[in-house]
Amino acid sequence: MSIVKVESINKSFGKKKILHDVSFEINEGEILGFIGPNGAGKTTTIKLMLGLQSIDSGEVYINGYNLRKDFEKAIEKVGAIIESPDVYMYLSGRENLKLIANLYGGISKEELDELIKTVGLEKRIDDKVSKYSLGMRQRLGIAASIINKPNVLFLDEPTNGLDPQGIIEVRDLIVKLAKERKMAILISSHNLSELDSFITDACIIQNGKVVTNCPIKKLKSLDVPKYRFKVNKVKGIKTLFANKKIEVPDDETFELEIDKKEINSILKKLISNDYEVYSLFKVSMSLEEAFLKETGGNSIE
Amino acid sequence: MSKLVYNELYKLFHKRSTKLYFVLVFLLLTLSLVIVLKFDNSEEIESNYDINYQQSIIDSYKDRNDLNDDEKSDYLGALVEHDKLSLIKEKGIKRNSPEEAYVKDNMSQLFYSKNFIIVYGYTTDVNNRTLDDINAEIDKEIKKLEELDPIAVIKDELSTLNKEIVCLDIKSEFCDKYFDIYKKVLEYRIEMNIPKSYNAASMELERYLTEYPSYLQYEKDKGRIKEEEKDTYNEIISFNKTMEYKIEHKLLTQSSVVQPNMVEIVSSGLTDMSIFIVIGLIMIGASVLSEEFEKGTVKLLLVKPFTRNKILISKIIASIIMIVIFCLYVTVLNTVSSIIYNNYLGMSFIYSLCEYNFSLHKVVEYNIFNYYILTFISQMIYFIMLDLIVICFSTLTTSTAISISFGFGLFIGTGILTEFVQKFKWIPLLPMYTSDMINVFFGQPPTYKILTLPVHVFFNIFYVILFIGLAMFIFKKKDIKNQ
Ligand SMILES: Nc1ncnc2c1ncn2[C@@H]1O[C@H](COP(=O)(O)OP(=O)(O)O)[C@@H](O)[C@H]1O
Ligand SMILES: [Mg+2]
Repeated sequence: MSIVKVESINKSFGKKKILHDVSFEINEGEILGFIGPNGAGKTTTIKLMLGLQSIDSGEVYINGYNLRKDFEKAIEKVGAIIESPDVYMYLSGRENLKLIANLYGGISKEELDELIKTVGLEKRIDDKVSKYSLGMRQRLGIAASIINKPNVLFLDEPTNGLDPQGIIEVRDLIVKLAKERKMAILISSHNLSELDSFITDACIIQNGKVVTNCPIKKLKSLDVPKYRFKVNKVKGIKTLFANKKIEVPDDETFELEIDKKEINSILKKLISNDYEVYSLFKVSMSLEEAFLKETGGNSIE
Repeated sequence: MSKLVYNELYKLFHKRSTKLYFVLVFLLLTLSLVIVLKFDNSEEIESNYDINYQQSIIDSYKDRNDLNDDEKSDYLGALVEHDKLSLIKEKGIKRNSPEEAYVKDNMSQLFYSKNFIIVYGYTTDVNNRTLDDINAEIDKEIKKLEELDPIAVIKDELSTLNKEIVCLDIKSEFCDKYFDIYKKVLEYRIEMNIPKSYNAASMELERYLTEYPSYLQYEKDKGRIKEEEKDTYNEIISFNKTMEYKIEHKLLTQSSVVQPNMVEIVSSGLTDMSIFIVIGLIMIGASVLSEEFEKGTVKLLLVKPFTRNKILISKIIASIIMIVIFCLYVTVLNTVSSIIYNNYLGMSFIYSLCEYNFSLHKVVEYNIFNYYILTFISQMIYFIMLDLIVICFSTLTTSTAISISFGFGLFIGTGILTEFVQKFKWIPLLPMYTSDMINVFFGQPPTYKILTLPVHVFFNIFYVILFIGLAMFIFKKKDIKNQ
């Protein structure tokens, strides 16, 4: 059963249409990468899914509840960080968490301490948040968003603005949470390669339209094998393989998208045409390239 | 909902601006107290000035032999005044004390006789007393002054009353009534031990007598009072009714005259010092919602399982609780500093107050408690109205700075608008006027005729629904913009 269901939502700001029939679902245990360039409409979509902005048409269901009609129930088991972690700078980390815990009720001090440990803030939790680094604030934000033990987590570019160390920390935390708590997670980013190591599904959005929505495995399976040949010269190589997909990065290298059964015949062709083959190996396509292939070559950046 | 309100209050109390507010109000009140205590020597200056002034007149005449009649009487006046003032100063006599009255009233004649002889060079005065005789009498009077018996003075007065009766214009249509009152006042003073010029009590009685004829006149003309005379009429009615009540219930005593009135002091924190509360409430009302929009933290609230209406209402409730806290804080500070100030002036306090109530048509006696509660409730209506307007405006602008400016603009603008009430009769129907109900609560005549009780109630309910409804509507429709 899908925990989150977005049904062809549309949104315009004035005359400018931002989202066109955006639909997707997130199931239990899935980590959906919501990927698209800046301005694609990721933040807008997430805000619509949280009721922070009004939906022009379409529906959002969370845990089976219609967000518009049953807001309080739908949002009950949702944790979210949008744009930047929303925390009160003039309070300490602990005070921030206590306030949120108070809103949900029934959260013991031990649970709170446990949570603080989970996000690794136990040493600085009683300092004013204004003294935190952005990474610490992001971790506090994540702690705040999972106080109510949600089964859904929306994270809008959680690694934005963090240094490499911070990115790794936050990523590890998300992976840990996904494993331990079995949440349905939506995580947005403008950078596919940042996510491809741990998301289970990818939803790619461009100019307000979902262009790809599939399991990451499928995206990876698009990984048509590609072979890199090192040769003495590349002159005339393109005409030789005019019927194949070929790339020529430099004077001694070319890459072919072929099946491994074809290798022998390729080699024969090369040798009979006076090319010296120095080496040959398989290269993997990155997720990004796979995506480009799928969408017909538009860059997402 | 109570969880939301708790959180709002927690945040408000931990904000730097709130802490700053508490400190600043404290400092301002303390500072003004210190300034008043340290630098207010106006009384001293005044009395010195008087003595010095008289001395300068005396100096300009002293060594001249060619004074004409006018100059001589000037000279004489200055000498008498100088004698009185020096005696008061020398004996350390307090203002408005029975001793001061005694010196000013009873010893004037002796000082006059003494200086008359000096200025005109006679050997005796009209009563054939020599300078030595008079000086001896002055000494005797000073002794009397030291063990002053105010009652004797009143007895004296009463004994002359019979003579005064004869002097009154018997044909005057109010004569009988007036004379009754006159007698009542004198008898009251004897009973309560209040000598003439003794203190504010005797001055109030004096004023009562002076205004009594116009009171009778107004009572007679009741139905035909002109619009522009209404204020004077109300004032005289209120004063006379209150005096009647005070005499009947023996509320004017030697100690009751002592100012200031504790009841008014405690409540003045809410009225005279209300600007401090207004500053605080505008600060809170303008920021309680806007600041969360500005800092982005509003998203944190909005994705919690509460409807936007609940969030807005909880913020309104928290801001109102905050206003109550501000009221109590200012009251306490104001009362403490007033007590310190007035103790410094050597005064004690009275704890009840009576005032004529125009709606009940009788004099109502208040104690500190019920007077404060009434003031508090009536001021709260005004504060809450201002708060609601500012919050409503801030949901629209989501800018703290603009909302604060708007709040103060509204507060100051109301003062300016008041200038145009004559021209535009509907102005008092605006919320800042309808929510000002202090006159209604104390049964005083309305400042604006249009503002009767039902009008107040109707418009206040209307405005409260309007502003809360509008704020809810705007807040509900608000899209949280992308950064
Ligand atoms: N309040 C707004 N008014 C008009 N256009 C907006 C507004 N907010 C966002 N947009 C536009 O909507 C598009 C999507 O924005 P956003 O959802 O923030 O993209 P992303 O998060 O993917 O970078 C952008 O082109 C942006 O310019
Ligand atoms: Mg964004």
